[in-house]
Amino acid sequence: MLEAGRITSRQLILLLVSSRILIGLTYSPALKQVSSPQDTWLILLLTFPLHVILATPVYFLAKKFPHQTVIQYSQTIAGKAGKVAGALLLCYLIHQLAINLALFSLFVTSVSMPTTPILFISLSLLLACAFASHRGVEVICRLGELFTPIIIIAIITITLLLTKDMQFKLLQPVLEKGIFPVLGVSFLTLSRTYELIEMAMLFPYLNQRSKVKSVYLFVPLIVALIFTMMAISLLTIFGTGAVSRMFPYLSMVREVHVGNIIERIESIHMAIWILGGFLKFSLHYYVIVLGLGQLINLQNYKPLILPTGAILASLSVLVAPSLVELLAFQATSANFIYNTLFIYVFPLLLLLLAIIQKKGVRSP
Amino acid sequence: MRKLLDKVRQPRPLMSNTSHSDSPSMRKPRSDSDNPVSHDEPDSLDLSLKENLQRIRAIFAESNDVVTREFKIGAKDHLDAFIVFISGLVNETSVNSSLIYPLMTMERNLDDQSAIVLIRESGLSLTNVKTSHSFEDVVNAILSGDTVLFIDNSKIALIASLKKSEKRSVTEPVTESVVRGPREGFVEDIGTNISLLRRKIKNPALKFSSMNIGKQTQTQVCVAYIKGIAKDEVVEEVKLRLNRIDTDAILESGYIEAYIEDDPFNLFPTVGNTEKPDIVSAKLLEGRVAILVDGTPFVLTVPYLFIEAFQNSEDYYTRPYYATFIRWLRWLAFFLATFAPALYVAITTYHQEFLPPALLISIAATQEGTPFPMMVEALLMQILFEILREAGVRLPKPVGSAVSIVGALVIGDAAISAGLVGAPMVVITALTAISSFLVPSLTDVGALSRFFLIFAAGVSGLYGIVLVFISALTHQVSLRSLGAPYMSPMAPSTLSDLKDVFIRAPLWFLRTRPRVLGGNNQQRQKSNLKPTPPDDQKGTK
Amino acid sequence: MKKYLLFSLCFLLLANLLTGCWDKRELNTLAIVQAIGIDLTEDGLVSLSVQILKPSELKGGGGKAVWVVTSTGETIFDAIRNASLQTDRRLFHPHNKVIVVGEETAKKGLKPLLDFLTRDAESRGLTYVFVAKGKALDILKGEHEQEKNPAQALEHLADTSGLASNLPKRTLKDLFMVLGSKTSSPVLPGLKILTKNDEGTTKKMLVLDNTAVFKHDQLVGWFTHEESRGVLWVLNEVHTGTIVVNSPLAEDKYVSLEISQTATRLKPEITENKLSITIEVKEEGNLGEQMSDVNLTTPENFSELEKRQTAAIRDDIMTAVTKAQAWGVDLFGFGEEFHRQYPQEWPELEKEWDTLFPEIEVNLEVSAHLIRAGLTSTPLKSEPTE
Repeated sequence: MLEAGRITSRQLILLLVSSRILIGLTYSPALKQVSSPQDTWLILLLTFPLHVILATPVYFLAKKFPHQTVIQYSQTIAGKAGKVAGALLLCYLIHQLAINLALFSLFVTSVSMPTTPILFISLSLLLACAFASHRGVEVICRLGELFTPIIIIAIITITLLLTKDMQFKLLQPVLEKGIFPVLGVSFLTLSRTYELIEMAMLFPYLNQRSKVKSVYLFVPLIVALIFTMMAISLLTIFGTGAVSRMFPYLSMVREVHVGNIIERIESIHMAIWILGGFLKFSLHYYVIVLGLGQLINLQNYKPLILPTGAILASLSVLVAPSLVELLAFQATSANFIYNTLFIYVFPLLLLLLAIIQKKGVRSP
Repeated sequence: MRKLLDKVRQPRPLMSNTSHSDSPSMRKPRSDSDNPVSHDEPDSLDLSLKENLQRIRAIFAESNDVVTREFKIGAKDHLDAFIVFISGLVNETSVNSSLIYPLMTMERNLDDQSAIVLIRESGLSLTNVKTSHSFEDVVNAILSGDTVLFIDNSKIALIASLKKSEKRSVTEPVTESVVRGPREGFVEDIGTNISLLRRKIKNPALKFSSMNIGKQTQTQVCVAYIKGIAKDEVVEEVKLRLNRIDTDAILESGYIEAYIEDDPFNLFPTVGNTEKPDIVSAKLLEGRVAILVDGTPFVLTVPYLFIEAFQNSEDYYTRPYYATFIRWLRWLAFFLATFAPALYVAITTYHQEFLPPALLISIAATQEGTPFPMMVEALLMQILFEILREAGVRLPKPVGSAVSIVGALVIGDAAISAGLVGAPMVVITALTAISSFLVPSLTDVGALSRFFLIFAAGVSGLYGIVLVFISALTHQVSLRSLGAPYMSPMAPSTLSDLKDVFIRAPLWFLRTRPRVLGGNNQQRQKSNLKPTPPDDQKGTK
Repeated sequence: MKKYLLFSLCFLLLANLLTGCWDKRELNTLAIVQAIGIDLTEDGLVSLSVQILKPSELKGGGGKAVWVVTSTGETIFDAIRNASLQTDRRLFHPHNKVIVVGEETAKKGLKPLLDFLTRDAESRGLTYVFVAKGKALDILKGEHEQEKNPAQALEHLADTSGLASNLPKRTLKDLFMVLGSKTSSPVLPGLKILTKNDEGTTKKMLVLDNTAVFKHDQLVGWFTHEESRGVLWVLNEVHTGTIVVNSPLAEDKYVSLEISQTATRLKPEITENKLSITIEVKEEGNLGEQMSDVNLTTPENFSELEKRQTAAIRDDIMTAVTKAQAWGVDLFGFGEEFHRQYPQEWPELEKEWDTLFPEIEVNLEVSAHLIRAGLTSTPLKSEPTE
């Protein structure tokens, strides 16, 4: 057993929630992809039902292979091919982490520390994450339990502080371009939910097997609600002008001014960003080294941490020649297919194979 | 026990050298005829009184505080005997009146083998008398202040407890004074301390299991717990860890603390200590284990969680609202004590945009002519403060006040008027200093991490602070104290236990013990204790 | 493992220290910018004036608390960096309170100038924007009696001007909201210098004056205070202020009515290729003052006053709307209202908006009420009521 730790469903939910909302919190990609930006809140709300439907393979696989991670059961199901697929999946995760790390440091240097080298930011955060993943899943989950409530409370507080400036008429007209563009962007948004893979990696470590369902349902629900809240506050403050902002949420936080006392609270956004980034990357990092350990049948994943970190740090510089190029790459349809392939198609294929080969625990 | 044997054996070669001539001759016939075992057990007492006396004298050679007094028992038949004790540890009046006098005036016939039994049963007017066959026991008893009676023709010695110990009276502890609550504190004497606990918890389930630790000091260490409330595994683990200690000396409970911690390289305290019996009782009742050490008023409690630093006995003696408020203040104060200087440095050198304009202008005005960078200024002030604090604690009282006057003038006034540091920095330092005393058990953690944080803030602003903070927290959540997660009940969270963390819920609401500590016995009180007005008045409300 | 991690973290921090702490700015190396003024020179360069605070002077020094630096450059950013040839400290913008745009510059369009102000991480959306009557540089050199820091005075002026409700108050963010729409046009408060001779010394005092009206981002003219009030009514930005009407019982005397509650709703409608919009204004006010000595606190007089109040509001709005339609500037966001209400028809309307806007039929529904009458019931020497 590579990991002996046990986590609770609450810990896993909180960890995955803050991990999912982080990038959306700052870059708000959905807002920039839709042709009728005032419907963004609807897009994000719709991600919940869509996610529940699309992610069913992961859920059933977790039922069928309750003691195995996705890397392990892909080998159980498909043998050598499964091993190759698992390796590809890990490469995908490494790529995604590098991209997100680049996004993280580019934001920090854009708004706060323009002359600090990007590598310094990503390397120092990566080291902290390496420390956390060295301490194992229990520690990461406990940190999630400490930080996520802080993050959620901060987001709610910011929303409350802004209510006096909100103009709800800016949400109109609803569905100006019809429902299809909205649904389309919902799918685009979902294609960034690689937390699903992380979920599949961590299900075996839940202390109560029966809680798999609640994790599977609550994570997208809470994420959708927080995203919707953020989108509504953004749109009612800036209207569709929010689209033109590079970091819409940050711009919005900078608008907070309550009676000349509560203003200039961007630091809160910065704190959320660093805390959340730390959580997100620690989890992601941990999942990668755990998966690698399971793929090559190690007894201990810890020796993998530093080499993986070195790869990640250098890759995070390579994937992002500039912020503009990185964002443009993320918006391409090739990227959409790339993501969907690993997040949704891969588990679906595994599930089909498992059903055909009658492997795993029979579902009740 | 092995350690004890070592100690007793040590003087033996000395003895055999000095009494070389007569001892073998005297020993041999008796041991052959009487008790062949004595050959195999060199530790057991000899039948001959003289032999015993010599051995005792040899063991305690060159210690002139050991008194051996030979006398004869019985008014009619004289039986040879002697007593050994260490003067100063023994109440000599009692030795005279309740040991020597009754024995000398004994009227019974003491010829037979059962003399020792007879003496024990009817010769001594003492409550605490034990018998022993072994030299090891006897020597230990003498060293710990007992009086030992040897009689001729007996392989058994009587150990009588006639201790006189130098005790401080039970007073209010200096480190933990309260406005409301018991004023008694532990003292150096472990017997008194145990009695203080017994007086609080009148339950046979309250167990004290003793052991002696320290090759040289033989310090009595006592593990106290309530059977049925404390987890058995924890009690066993504590005993295991204590038994593992094999060292020269235990002079204070801090020594024990250092040997039983879960993580040795750890800034945060994972073993609690207190001077107050009521606090120890409360902790025992929550399912913790206490370790009492002879010679110090500081009693250790394990497992020790992070939140305990923010709980105070008085929280539970006052009404819940103010207690909750104070608890919030403590969290705030700890935050300030740890982060205030670092945040100030970070904001004034990296993130000036976070300051309200008026504040920025005020700070900027004071900072116009100061020579040092903000980080250096902050480090200087902190070091200066730590020096003053340490001087104030260590110096004799009369000098101490002089130090504080000089310090206040140097820090407060002269530094500003000389333009060395900005006035806001002095305010921050003072704030930090005061705040750090609100959470006494984390004062040292605060002081050390402050330096780290100031450095991180000076090097990379808020980003550095947050990085250090999350690294520290990662370390903190991975800590355990005797198996209990250090940061519980926050991480891993136990919602039902949060009732006593950020708030202090009313006592009738604190129905269960902390889950991470209590074993099977969770319930602390009945569930319907919420006070209500009497039935006949309910309608009028 | 743990040792390696700790070691590398320390190494990183030290590396930072040795390379001189990127982004570190000690307070006494900062020039705190309080206001910036943007003018264009004749050859099209940006002439940027920045008002810099002298903190120690502000805190009890005797001299002037601010000084003004002017530098030119091809862009605003360029001009800012060029200013470092004159300032020994680095310009620090986050506490900038005010942006003043020169009149001539505003006529050439705001958009090219304002991009920097949203792109730069140091500037903030909550900065107030004004249009100078004349050059922005002169405004920055102006003074104020109350405050040593003129930019702070301007900031407070923008806030207190709400008491009169005849000038708009616009932050950078508000401006961008309007400029982001393809049909709407913004208004900005105007600023001028009043030269005052005070015991031999000439003082240049700052005064808010009139409203600059833009067509998209180009200044096209100025509205008077009454016309501005009309615009504010439609935009639902009148919060308090006075309405002066003639006294019903003594026509040559004035009565001031204090505005206490207002609400405006716009209802666009498309009927048979004709656009119309209904402006519903609800107002509650108090009798604030009368200059005659008649007793106005009777139900009859109150309802008469209400009628006059309604008429006054209607007048204000109608003047403003007529003028705006004549100039073809959609100051009121009518276009956005149609967009929200008729998303299907909007793409068509948007193309034609410049021709459609002047033709919009504007209906007014004003209902004004008087609620309170202050602390006086009948004035002194009033004739007894019948």
